[in-house]
Amino acid sequence: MSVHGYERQTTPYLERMTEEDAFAVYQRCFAPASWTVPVHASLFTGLYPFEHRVGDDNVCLPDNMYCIAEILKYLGYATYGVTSNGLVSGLLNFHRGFDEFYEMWHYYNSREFSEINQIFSRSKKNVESELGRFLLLLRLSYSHRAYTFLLKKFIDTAYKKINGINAIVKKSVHATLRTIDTAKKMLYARNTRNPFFLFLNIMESHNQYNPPSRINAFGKISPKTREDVLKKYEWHHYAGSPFPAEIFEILNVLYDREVLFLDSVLWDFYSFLKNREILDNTLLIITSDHGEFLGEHGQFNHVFTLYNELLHVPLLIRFPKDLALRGQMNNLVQLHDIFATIAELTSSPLPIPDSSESLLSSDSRKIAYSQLLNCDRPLRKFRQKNPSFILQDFMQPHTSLITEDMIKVIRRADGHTEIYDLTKDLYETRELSNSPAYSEQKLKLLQLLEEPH
Amino acid sequence: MDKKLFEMTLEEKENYSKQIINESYNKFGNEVAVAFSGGKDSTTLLHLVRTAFDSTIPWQVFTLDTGFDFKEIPEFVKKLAKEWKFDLTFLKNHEITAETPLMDKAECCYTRKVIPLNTAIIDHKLKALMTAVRWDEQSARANEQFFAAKETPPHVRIQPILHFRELDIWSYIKKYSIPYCELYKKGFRSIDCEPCTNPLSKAGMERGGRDPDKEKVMERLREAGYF
Repeated sequence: MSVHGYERQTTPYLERMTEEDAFAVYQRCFAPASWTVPVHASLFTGLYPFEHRVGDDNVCLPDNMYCIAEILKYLGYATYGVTSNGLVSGLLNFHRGFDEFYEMWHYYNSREFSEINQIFSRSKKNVESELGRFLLLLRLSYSHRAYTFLLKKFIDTAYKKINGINAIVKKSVHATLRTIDTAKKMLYARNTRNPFFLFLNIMESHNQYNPPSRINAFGKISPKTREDVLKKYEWHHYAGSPFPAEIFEILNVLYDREVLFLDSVLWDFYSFLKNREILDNTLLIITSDHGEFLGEHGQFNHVFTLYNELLHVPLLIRFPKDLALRGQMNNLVQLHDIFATIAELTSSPLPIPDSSESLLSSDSRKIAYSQLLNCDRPLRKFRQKNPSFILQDFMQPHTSLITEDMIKVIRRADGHTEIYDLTKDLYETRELSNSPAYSEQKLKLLQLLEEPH
Repeated sequence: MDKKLFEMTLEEKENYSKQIINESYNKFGNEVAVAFSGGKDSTTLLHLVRTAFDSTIPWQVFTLDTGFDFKEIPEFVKKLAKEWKFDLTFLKNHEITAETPLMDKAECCYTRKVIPLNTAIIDHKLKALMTAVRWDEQSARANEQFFAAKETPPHVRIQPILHFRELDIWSYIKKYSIPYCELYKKGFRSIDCEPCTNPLSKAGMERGGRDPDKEKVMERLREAGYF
């Protein structure tokens, strides 16, 4: 993103926003994990992955932990969520605490429909026949006295065939625009006397990269090439033939175009908030749960390792008017610090986990700790796609730690360790663990890695 | 569950609780014990008792030693006993040894919690036991009364913070800067014995992280003397 220094101007509107308005731009924000589910669990609970364990064997947000929407609801906020990512779903319990939670792969998003549908989704796994599932639908409609549910389910299923989770991955533009539209409608309809919390998850810039065809910046790509590249998934790279550099160049252009499109969408929403005079008393946070590999370190997508292509994420915050936090921020922060920041700003009495550090605090974070707890899911998929697929040494759990002075240590589950000096080498190209200058530091870093608190 | 009491301001709730506490002293004198688990609710209750009696706790305080507690719990309980200077007794079922066979969850709870608690009520000749049960915590507690007569063993269960919601508890703790167990800072919302507190649970309530088998038999356990 050019707002964070990328050479292609992918975010002109975000740059304009941060220049014209009072945004704090965090240059050293690192995600606590490398993929959607554990990062969202951290974002919602303020906990590290080793504490919430989401993304290990479990992918559901646990109930025995306070989550941010629930806390804000307790405090009298109207809580709205809109998601385009199938992993940030009610089925995985990420709807906890939201008064209204809209999933963009559904046509219907009423609370009643969502609740019954989630019960159906969980129960249908135990029903083998189509008839059995139909009877289950009938039973649920009857027991919930939701007699139009069956018809709605039929329409919703047809809608999902066209715009469902799999379709959103390939055609995120429709879901992105619908997300913004839904958010605007909710803000129009809300009771203006009550404060609100709105969470939006947009799939734009997540693979598969398919920006609107009208956006043709950063180089020429023929429609056929684009069509071919759109069919390439991570298993082709890891369990088939690794992509050549030319493919990554095309992917990079498409990715940048997606960011450019997203930039205009965010500008549109920001302008809406500004014009509706909602902005002045609102905390606006723009961020990402993780990054993407586009060939760096031989990697694609966000499946393995904890290099900074995945962990170093944008974080732009417009604090309410009376707080003087703005400009370029070079302190070390983690994405789940958002939890403590919101809790502090709203004077929440509920306990704030030690793992989450408020961005309002004058003390800066000493370490950024990240984990990839488990790689079993992608490996299972790769083995399905290619039974003779060969396991490589980076395909295992990782932990990483960045110190306040920007030294990073990464350790794989097999004990392999790498050290980088991020002040000179943010994207980890010069490994230093065997350098005599870092031998003493290495021991300290490994000790810190054992005790992340 | 009394909706009016539920809707009170925090200050009104505090005053109501203190009335119950004072009434308990007038009714039962010193023949009362306070149950203290080290959790947020019983810490709040102890503080209310302390506030009602000019920074002292006139009753003995019981804590269960189940053998399966998080290490942070007894550490916190002892620290608070020292700080607030109360008369602390750890209750344990001494018949349980390393050779005791594994039990199902409900039986385990009965053996390690209910039996030592009931034994202590008899041994200490108590007329009442004060606990930090809340209406909104679990459906089996929704119909509880502030004073409830129990038969086995005969005593009165005093429950002065029934009308506190979860948010009231934390608001009270924040208002008076009351120390609380560090497990809450590690993300736990509700704490039971370590094997029965599952941080990954998805059961849908404050006590969602507790073992679902045990939650199902809560009513039976409560009849037998559980909180």
